[in-house]
Amino acid sequence: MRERDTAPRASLIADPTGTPEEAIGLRRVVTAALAELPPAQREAIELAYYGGLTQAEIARELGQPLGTIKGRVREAMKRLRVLLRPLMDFGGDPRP
Amino acid sequence: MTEDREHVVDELGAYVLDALDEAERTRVRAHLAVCSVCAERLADYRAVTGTLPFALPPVSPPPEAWTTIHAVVRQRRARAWPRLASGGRWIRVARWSAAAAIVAGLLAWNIMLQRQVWRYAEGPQVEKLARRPGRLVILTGTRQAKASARLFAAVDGHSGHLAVSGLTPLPAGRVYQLWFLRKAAPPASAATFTVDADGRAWVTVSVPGPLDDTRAIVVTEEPAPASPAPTGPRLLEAEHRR
Repeated sequence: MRERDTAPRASLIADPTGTPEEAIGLRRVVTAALAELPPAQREAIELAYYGGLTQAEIARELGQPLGTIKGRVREAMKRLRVLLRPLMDFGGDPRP
Repeated sequence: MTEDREHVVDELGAYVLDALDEAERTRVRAHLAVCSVCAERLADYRAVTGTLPFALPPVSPPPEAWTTIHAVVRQRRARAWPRLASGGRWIRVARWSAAAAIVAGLLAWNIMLQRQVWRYAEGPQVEKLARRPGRLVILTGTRQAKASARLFAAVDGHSGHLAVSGLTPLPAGRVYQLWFLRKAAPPASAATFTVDADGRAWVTVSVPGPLDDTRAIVVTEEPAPASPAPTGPRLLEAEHRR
């Protein structure tokens, strides 16, 4: 396995120098990856990332045990790491 | 790569999502400082979170954004023309590069704006919370026609969130205060908050008691940091109808 850069093409967000085609492609891939997650895992990711909640807050909101939420977040991120690997291997510029 | 119990690989996903509590975050950070294995994996997870904003639906920029963009394009064109006047092909390349950068910039701007918007009243939390077996209470404006709020009380009955829109930003020294007017107890404060320039707020609420024991939920304007009891007129309110 070759060494990967620490920043993916998502560096477009902070440094919008990528092409529109890249951005559109990214959107499709990321949306598809999220759609592949089981609904409970996707919900946990959405609440954590887009909603800004901690795992404990998510557990309270959903009325679920904290361990359950931790498991969902952990498995979802593992899965996303695999699903989004093609993006990360896409040859982004090395960044610190 | 091995993942023994001393590593924090299992927490890295939540760490990059900023979803750990303070103690967990401190422990993970300390481990990352001395563990190259976990630090390498952290880079993977940071890459994952870096892509997540791209899943957000784009929103249309306001008209004034186009005015600014056109002005920038005109400036760039004016600067580029003297240097590029001798080569038509290069002019076309410069224009297309500028256009691509603008479109990419617009997309990124959309993403950032959308992320901000989602934190407020129309956010995914609201929609998802509304589908859960918690309680949803809609507060309507009494003096400001566009003011409204939605209170989501979690199933545990103690916590909730309040999504506010349409309230006027307050001067220094003033806050909005959320009250639970209870049937057999003094009014209980559940939160204080201010709103942003667009009149919005997303507030974590401490629900003081069962909603069925509450006759009304109201928002008033009070002196900062908070009042022990409501003194200002009701700006948002929801009456218990049962």
